[in-house]
Amino acid sequence: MQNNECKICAILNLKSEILFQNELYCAFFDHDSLWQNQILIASKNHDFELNLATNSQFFALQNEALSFLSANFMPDGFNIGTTDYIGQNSHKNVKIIPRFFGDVDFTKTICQSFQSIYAPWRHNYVVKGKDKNLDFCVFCKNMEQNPSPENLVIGHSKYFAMVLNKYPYSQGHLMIIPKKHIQSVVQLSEEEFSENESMVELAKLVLNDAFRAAEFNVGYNLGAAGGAGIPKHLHRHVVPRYKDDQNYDPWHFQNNFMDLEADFCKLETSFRKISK
Amino acid sequence: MKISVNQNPDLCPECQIIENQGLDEQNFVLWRGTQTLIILNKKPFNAGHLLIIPINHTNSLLSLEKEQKLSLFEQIERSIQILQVCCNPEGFNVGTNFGKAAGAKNPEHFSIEIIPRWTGDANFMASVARTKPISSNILSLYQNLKDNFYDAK
Repeated sequence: MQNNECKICAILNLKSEILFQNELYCAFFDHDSLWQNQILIASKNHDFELNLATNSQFFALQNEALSFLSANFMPDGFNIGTTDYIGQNSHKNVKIIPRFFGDVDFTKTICQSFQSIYAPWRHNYVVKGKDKNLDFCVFCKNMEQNPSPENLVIGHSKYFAMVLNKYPYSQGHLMIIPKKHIQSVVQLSEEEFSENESMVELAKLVLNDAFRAAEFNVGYNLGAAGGAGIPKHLHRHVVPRYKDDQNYDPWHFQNNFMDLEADFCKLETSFRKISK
Repeated sequence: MKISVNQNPDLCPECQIIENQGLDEQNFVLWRGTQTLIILNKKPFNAGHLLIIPINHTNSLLSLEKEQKLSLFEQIERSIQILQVCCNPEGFNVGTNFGKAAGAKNPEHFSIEIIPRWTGDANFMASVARTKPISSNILSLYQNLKDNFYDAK
């Protein structure tokens, strides 16, 4: 099915642009982007319903795109992500951006139109520094534990844990973390990849139940060059976005501190209710 | 907090900030000099993103007097020193966009941007979602920077 106004449908009609494809998905360079050699993977069908049976084809194409970018450009890291909303019914898609140390120079920072969201509660994280010199992995330590406000683990699946971020970008910023200590998405098996996708869907439902969130930024930062705070243990961010969150006014902003314990309790209740 | 102001529609946004001294707090004005004005950017790339604005309404360095150009450069140097103390960044971007084609938001009145930078300050939120979380209390940062701008000469 095609839609005349859809950008992805238009690219699909120009078959020459496509880098790789399989039955359900195709991958192509996204030339609109500020970031060079960004690959967009999108479903061929405009009216796409999320369906777990299609994950294996997505998995194959994502790995192919990552190894293509690694072989051709030798990046220091990757960003992999998407902007989703509940009830999304057009192309399932993900952007893969090869990242290099020092790739964000003044052409990107000066007068570039980035939206700003306000997260003053992260001040301590930035000032007091990240616990960089720990000899243990902060994620591994908590992976097998039962949910509690101390470890911020909301719930588990077979291979993953859903954890509330201690330094959230927005209220209810969750992470989907594999229980095994791996660094990259290419180390995930097909079964794990598929479970990861369902965990993200579950996280969205939990956030919708707890905080009425309906729009999300979902993604990975791979490597320090990709902006990862903890590059040694893979984690996928699910950042809920709220209405008008980029139009903050610091003079009237109420939540200078985030009540993590209260948020944890709400999310944990929602998780138990939904995953039942 | 609403204050009645002299909104002159003939003035560009930069000149409105320069004219309305009563709104300095809301506009995040850090320092007023005879030739230049320094403000904290409300839509920053990183917390501590400053703008140095020449008082003259101009889109070019050519139309500035020698002492005005000198003042701009002195303020760049001073801003970098103060940001180093207040924010402890690992690097800086300093620059200007002259003209709409180069990406200037206000092509009529240029300003010099100073952006403190850290390794890894752009992750998937910036690259995929074009969004920058501001990980700082911008009100206390404003107060802190302002105190430093007035203390140091």
